[in-house]
Amino acid sequence: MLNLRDVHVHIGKLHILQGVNLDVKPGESAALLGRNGVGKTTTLRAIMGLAARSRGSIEFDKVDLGTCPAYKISSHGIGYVPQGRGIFPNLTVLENLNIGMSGKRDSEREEYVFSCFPRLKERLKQFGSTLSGGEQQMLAIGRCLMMRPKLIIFDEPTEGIMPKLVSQIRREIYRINQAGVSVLLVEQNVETALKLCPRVFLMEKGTIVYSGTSQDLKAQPEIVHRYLGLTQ
Amino acid sequence: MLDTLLLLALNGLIWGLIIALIALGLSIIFGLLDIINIAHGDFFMVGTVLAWFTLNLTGNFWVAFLIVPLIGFILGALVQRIVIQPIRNVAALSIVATFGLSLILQEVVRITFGATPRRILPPIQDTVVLFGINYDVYRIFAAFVALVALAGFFLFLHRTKLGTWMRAVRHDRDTAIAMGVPAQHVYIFTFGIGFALAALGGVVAAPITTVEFRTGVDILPFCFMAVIIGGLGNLPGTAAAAVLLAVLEGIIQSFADPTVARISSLVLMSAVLLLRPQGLFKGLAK
Repeated sequence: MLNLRDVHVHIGKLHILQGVNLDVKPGESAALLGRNGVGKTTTLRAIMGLAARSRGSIEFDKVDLGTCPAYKISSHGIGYVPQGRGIFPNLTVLENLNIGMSGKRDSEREEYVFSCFPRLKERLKQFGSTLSGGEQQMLAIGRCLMMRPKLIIFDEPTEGIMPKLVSQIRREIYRINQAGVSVLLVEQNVETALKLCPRVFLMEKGTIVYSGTSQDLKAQPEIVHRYLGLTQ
Repeated sequence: MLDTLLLLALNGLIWGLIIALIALGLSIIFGLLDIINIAHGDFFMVGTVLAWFTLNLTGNFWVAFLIVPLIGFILGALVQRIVIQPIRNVAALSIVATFGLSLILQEVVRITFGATPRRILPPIQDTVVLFGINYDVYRIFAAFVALVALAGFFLFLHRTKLGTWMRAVRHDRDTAIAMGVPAQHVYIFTFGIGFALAALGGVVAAPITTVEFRTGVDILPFCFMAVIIGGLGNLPGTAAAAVLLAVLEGIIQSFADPTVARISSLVLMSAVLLLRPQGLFKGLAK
C-alpha cells in the first residue's frame, strides 16, 4: 500500500531524512516511534508532499506520489492528522469538515463522522477556535474521515489532550483501523502506540533502525531504552 | 459651515467606501501571500485609466463596470504567476518586486495614456437634496456600487468553496494542501481578486477624481493606513478603518487644510501602532 524507499529530505543545509525505508500494508496499523527531532514528522510531511524529497521514492497503491502535486495526494486516499491538530480556527466546524470535499456535501459521510464524534454535530456552526483541544482533535480526525481515506497518518494525536479524551481518541483510531483503514501513527506515548499498532518502526537520526512487531519490541527492553530512552 | 462639514463628511464616507474596496484587495494579498504590495495603488490607477479608454472606445461608461474588473482579474493572475510566485518565499524581495511593478505600470500608462491628467464626466449628472444640501447622484451611486461589491466579496468569502479555501490557506497553507486545497491556484485567484477590486474602485472613482498615471501614488498610503488601523489581514476591520479615516479626513477638511487632515490620519495610525498594534477592529476579525 504505502512504500517509502531510500527517502532523503534536506531542509536548508540539514540532512533530515537519510534514507528512510518503510511500508504499511492494507488494513495494517503501524507506529513510527523515536525521540524528538529524529525525523518522524518530516517523514510524514514527505509522504504528504509537504517536504521536498531530494532522493528516493514514495509509492501509494502503486502510484508514485512524487509525480503528483501535493494537493492531489489526499485524493489518492491518504488522510493526514497533523501535529497540533491543524484545524482552521477561522472556519466553522462544518467548513472544516468539508474543506477537502469537492462538489456537493456528502451527508452520509457526515453522519458517519458524527456517529464517531457526536460532539461535533452539536458544534457545527461554531468556529474551530472555540473548540477545546479534544474537540479540535476529533474535528481533525473527522475531517480526514470525510474524504474516505484508505490510510490515515496521525502525527501525535494525543499530544496536549485531556487524559479523559485520550482514551476516546485511542478508541476511535482503533475503530477506524478495524473498519479497514490503514493507520500510520507517530506517537510520543509509547504505551498508546504499542497498544494500537501491531507493527513498529523505530527512527534514529533520520533513518529507520528497527522494524518489527510490538510484541518483539516489548521483549527487547534494551532497544526500547536505546532508541526511546525508556526503561520498562 | 455646517453645510460644508456635512458635504465633506458625506464625500469622506463615499470616498472611504471606495478606498475600502481597494484596501480590501491589499489586505487579502497581504493576509494570504505575506506580500507587501507597493503596486496596489497602481492597480487602482490602471482601473481609472481603463475606464477612460473604455469610455472613449465604446462611448459608454457603464461598460467599464463589467470589463475593467475582468481585465484587472486577468492582469492580477498574470502578475501573481510571473512576478510574485518566483519570489514567494522571500518577503523582502516582494517589496522590491512590487515597487518595480509599480514603476512599470506607471510608465506603461504614461506612454500609452499620456502624462496629462484628464477628467471623466459623471455618467449621472443629476443632483439630489440630501440633508438640506444639493448632492451629486453619481456619488450616491458610487457608494451603492462600493457597498454592493463589499457585501458581494464578503458573501463570496463566506458562502463559496473558493472563499473557504482562501480563508483556510490564509491560516495554514500546508494543512490546507494536505486536505486537498490547490493553494497555488488560490494564490493566483486571490491576486486576481485583489487587482479586480482595486480596478473596480478605479472605475467607480474615475468620474470623481482625475485620471492620470500617478493617481495610485496618493491612494497607496491611505490604503496602508486602513490596513494597519483595521488590523493586518483583518478584512472587515480594513473596510471599517477605510471609512473611518475618510470620514475623519472629510470632517477635518471642513475647518483645516487637507494636509492637516492627512497628518491627523497619520497620528491616528501611529497611535494605533503604539497602543493597539493588532488594530482597532480586532473583534471583527474572522
